[in-house]
Amino acid sequence: MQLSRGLSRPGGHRMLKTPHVSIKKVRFVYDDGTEALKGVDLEINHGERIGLAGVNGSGKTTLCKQMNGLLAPSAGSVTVDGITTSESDVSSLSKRVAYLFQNPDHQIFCSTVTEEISFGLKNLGLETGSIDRRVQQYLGLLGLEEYADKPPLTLSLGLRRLVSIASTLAMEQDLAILDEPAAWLDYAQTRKAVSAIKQISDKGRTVIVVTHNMKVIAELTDRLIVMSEGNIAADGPTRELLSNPDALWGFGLVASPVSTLAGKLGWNKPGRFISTPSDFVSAMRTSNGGGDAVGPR
Amino acid sequence: MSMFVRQTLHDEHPYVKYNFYKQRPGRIARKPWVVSMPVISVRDASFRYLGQKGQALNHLSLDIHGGELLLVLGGDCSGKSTFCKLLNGLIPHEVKGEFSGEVLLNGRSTKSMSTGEIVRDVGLALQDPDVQLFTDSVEEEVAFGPENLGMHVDAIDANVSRALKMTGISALRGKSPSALSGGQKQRLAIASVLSMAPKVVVLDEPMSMLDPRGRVEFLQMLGGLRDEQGIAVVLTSPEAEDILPFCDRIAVLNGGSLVGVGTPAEMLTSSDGLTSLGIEPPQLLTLSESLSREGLLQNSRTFFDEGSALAALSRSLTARRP
Amino acid sequence: MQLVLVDIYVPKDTMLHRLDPRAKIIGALLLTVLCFFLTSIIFLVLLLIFLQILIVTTGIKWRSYSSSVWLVARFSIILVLLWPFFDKMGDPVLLDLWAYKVTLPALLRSSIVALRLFVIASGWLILLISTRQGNLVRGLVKLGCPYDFGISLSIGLRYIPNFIGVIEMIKEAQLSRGLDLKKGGPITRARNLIPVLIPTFVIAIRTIEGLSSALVSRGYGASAERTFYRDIRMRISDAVVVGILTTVVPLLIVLDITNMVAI
Repeated sequence: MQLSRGLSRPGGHRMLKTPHVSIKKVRFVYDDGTEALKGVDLEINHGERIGLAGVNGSGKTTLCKQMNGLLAPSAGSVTVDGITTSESDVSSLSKRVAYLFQNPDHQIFCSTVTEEISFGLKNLGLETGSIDRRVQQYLGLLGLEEYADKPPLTLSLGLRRLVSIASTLAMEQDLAILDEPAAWLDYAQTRKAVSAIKQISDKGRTVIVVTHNMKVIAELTDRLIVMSEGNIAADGPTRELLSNPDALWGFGLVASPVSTLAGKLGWNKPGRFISTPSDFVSAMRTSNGGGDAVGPR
Repeated sequence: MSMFVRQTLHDEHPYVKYNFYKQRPGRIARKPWVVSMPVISVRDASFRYLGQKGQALNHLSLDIHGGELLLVLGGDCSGKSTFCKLLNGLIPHEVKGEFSGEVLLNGRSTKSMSTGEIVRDVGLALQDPDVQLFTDSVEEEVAFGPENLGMHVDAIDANVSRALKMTGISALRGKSPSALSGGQKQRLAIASVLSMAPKVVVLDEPMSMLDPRGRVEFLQMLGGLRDEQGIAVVLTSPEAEDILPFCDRIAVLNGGSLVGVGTPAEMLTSSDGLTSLGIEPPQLLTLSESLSREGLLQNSRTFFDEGSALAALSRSLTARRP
Repeated sequence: MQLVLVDIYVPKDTMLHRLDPRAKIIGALLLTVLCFFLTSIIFLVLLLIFLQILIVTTGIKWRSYSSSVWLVARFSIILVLLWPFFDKMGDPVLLDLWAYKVTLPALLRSSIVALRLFVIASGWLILLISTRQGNLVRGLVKLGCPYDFGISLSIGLRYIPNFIGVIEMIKEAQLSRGLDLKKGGPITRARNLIPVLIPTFVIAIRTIEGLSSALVSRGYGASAERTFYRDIRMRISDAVVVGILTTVVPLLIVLDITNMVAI
């Protein structure tokens, strides 16, 4: 798979010529000797919408933690916005990098949802007026208005997750790393989270979504990076990768049912990518389904 | 040894296989509820957690039959986890709250049984694997349940090896549970339940931390469990998509009430209906509805699985060829 | 993926590891009792050195060892430092600050207590480093402890490294939201710990609730007679060690009481 440099989205813009995140020859070895990253090279440009997939243990989380300073590379360098992460600390980097963790209970501690969302904003040093405005904005974005004054610890798991998503996104950093944003959410809540993430990436923020949910990746990303055993195994346009069910299975991932169906009908070809129902419907509209294939293979 | 063994210390003969279902020749029929009595019968169960305002379960009635894989589908706060606790006796014996109604296990009410008796037949793996670890090695963890039941050491040995093999973690036998990844811990929690050789295995969101391939392998394993050993498997999940090819029936919960139960074909008819219940409609269902709306589908019947999709599409495509 | 684990047990196969847990439990107990009779600093120091050598043979990593030692050391140092508030008797007086008076005999007394702490801690540490949790429980049960106690202890021990891991994860999550644990005076720093302490507390409670449900679900208490899958067996060498311990230690105590040996 070719390394795609700086995809510009329709309606998006390339802010600066220098990459937002630059990862050069990064190796990482844990204290117990496991080599989680074996020489990773990666460049992410401003405004990109990136999916990071791979089986458990492939190094996705380790790579992400390099970007906000939680881990420092054993070899190589990681720069975000020109700042070398190993020379900075997590709190200062948190002004530029948002990190959504999987378990909301690791973050929630305030007595109301409003306070919880304000926590990160206070740490950024914003003034009260802006904090209130942002809190209202993000409460609305994630459908949490009715819970604004409730203690987040008494809410159900899905709602707690939405609160932690709101708290993380509200800080509006330029780079947002979201670890399994759809985890612990039911369908309605996932829709809210996905639309919130779409909105923030539409505003030009660089978003990295770490997940193995191919449907979420199809909706939220333009570029998909697949990791395997500490290396980047594939890096290319999302639609292209998602339309190759065999390749995905090789990486331990499963293509969406529509993709697999299109594959069985012989409709997935270079230049013709079917990964969502709407793609399929448009393909079906053109009388023989996109190309020469007529009927199942 | 291909079956889980239930021999206890007090049994005389080793390796006594506990055949509670007559061995059927060939595969167990897909609709056993037609012929056999339900293993668990939930009758008008209602439950409210102590200190909470809403009902967690609302007059729920459902039968669970041996040899079936039942998917309990529901969104956040639908009562899925509470339902699981109802099945293994945690409600009403351990969890504080108001309980009304009845749960019959093999014809006996769980209220009149002790949890010790109930858990011999009904195994439950909770949602969070981190709160279900008691020992410092995987092997001991899987042996913990059978030890508590007083099983014979040889039976424990057989069951532990079998459970580890089925969940794919035999290689981790000597490791400390703290050193495992989230997905591995989930498999461990399930292996620990399987080794107790229950008749019903209840799993609360058992795949939330598995990667897609892991999920497929896991579901294949559960299907095998149901087919080979006649064990009833109850599985909860917020989404149905990948589970559909494996389940026999789907029960949909919403707000503590049972909205409907039936085969996938009976339950998955409308994506709007499912969405209104907080459940993600299968992608192929949405596809078939979009195609029908545009008149691109031959007989406008919706589908949700690949086989029917291919059949319907090839018909439609051939029909449109000049 | 897990990061650094702080596990007390060291998974190796040394002489001490192979020793029956009952021998080690009896040893730690007898050592604790003995310490209350020991007053000779020299003897205590020698005993301490001997125990540290034993600890080294278990193959423990320096980092784990030093953190355990540091834990006890901090406690002892605080003890010695606070002692002069309460025990001011004897001559010569080394430091006199009215409420805080350090005298040489009192200093020696506090040092003895501190050393005793170290010795007792070392004894129990040897037990925990070289004994698997499961074997520890079996040892306790075979020595007469009720199984409930044994399992509570082992679950507690099992969750210590877990919780340290959880606290680390909570800290990471809160740091990523801009929490700064380094700046500010002691009051600000203490207040900044709240975002870490509350989630820890909450997770602790949820874990306890989950554990009790899980214990029931796994049949705890279902059978009056519980099987033990992997059992421990006392070998001759283990019996010899127990024999030596149960004769030497009481002998020392008796000799000490009757003032025949000044230890």
